[in-house]
Order: sequence, then structure tokens, then C-alpha cells
Amino acid sequence: MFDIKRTTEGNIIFTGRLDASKSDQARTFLSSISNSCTLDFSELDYISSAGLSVLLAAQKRLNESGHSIKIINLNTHIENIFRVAGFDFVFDLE
Amino acid sequence: MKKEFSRHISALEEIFTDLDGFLSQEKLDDRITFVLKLVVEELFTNLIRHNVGGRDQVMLDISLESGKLKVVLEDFEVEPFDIASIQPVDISSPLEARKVGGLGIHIVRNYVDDLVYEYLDGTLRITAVMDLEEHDVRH
Repeated sequence: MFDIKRTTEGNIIFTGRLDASKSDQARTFLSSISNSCTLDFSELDYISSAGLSVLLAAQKRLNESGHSIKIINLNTHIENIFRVAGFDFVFDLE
Repeated sequence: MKKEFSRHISALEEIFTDLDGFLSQEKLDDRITFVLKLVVEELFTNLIRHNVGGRDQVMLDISLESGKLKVVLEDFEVEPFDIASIQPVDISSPLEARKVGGLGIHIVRNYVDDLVYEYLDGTLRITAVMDLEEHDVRH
């Protein structure tokens, strides 16, 4: 299961498992974002390279117009894979 | 756990369900649970993307013996494709220079202790081994 929802505060919550079979769903959603945003990963259990690639593509696109993605509440395992991928250098993590 | 799965990305749902069963049976901890799923997904999707030819089904065999967790993926009737030929990713590049994609094998190499590619008579086999002895991984 993977889902994306918006809070009334404007944060975007990713939920469940973002694997290769769900990466198109994340890609479609992120392609609709045109300003800086915060992704809340507090309910995201798992991410693979397919999900990471979607995030990186969105960050590169937004960066070209002076915007960026901030990611908050990563669990330990996801934080670790971000470090392995060098994403701690290209995303603002909190 | 030894089973054939459809050579399609949609098979991931069934693979994860079966992995949950295996992991529950072996009582492995959260970190190994995450890493095993990650390694299986990355190797499986890599095989689907890069291997030319192939039957409709691929074989996944996972075993735990003497503290070593072994993942074997076999793809039949395919042309050789050595994962070692995949270019390494420069993770220190600035955002503008980062290329999208190509992270899968980089990630697998960081999480496993051994990664072996074999090819014989049209069958490609990838074996990944994680040594669990150094970690307290059971509940």
C-alpha cells in the first residue's frame, strides 16, 4: 500500500511502501508541485531506488526555479538509505 | 523460501507478501527486514530492466543458514548481462550534476557482504549474501 495526502497545514504525507510498482504514482503527484514543499515521511515505512529517483528528479526540476523539497520525519532505515544514496547532500532533511 | 514470480514489476506485491511470511517465520529484526526487501526489489527490478529475453517467470530463492542470509535470483533463457558493468554512481555530485537513476546496484552493494554474478547456458544467477553474525537481528 502506498498513499499520498495533504494536511490542512499544507504538508504532504507519504504513507506505506514506495517501491518500484508505486513510483509512477509518486512521480505523477510530484510533477504537479511547482513551489517549495515539505514531505512528511512519518508514515512511510519503506523506499527503494525507484522512489529515490522520483524524489531526485522532482528536486532537480524545482531547484531550477529556485524551489526545493524538504523532507521531515524519516525513520531510521529510510534515513540510512538516504545517506547511502548521498541524498543528505541534496535534500534538506529534518 | 523458493518460488517463481512473474517477470513483471507488478509481481513486487506478491514478493513482498511472501517475504513478510519468511521474515515472520525467521523472526528477523526491523533492519534486516528493511534490507532484505530492498535487496530483493533492487535485484529483481534490475533483472527485469536489463536482461534481454527470458521466460515469463524468474526464480527467487531465499535461505538463512549459519548466520548468512542468502538471496538467489535466477533468470532463464536470457543473454548475459553482468551487473558489474553498471557504472558506479557519484553520490557526492552537487544536485545539478546528479543523474536520476542507477542507484539500485549502488544501494545493494552497500548493504550486502557478497554479490556474485554467474551465467551458464542461458541462465543468469545473481547471489547476494548478508552476514548476520555481527548483528543482533532476531526479536
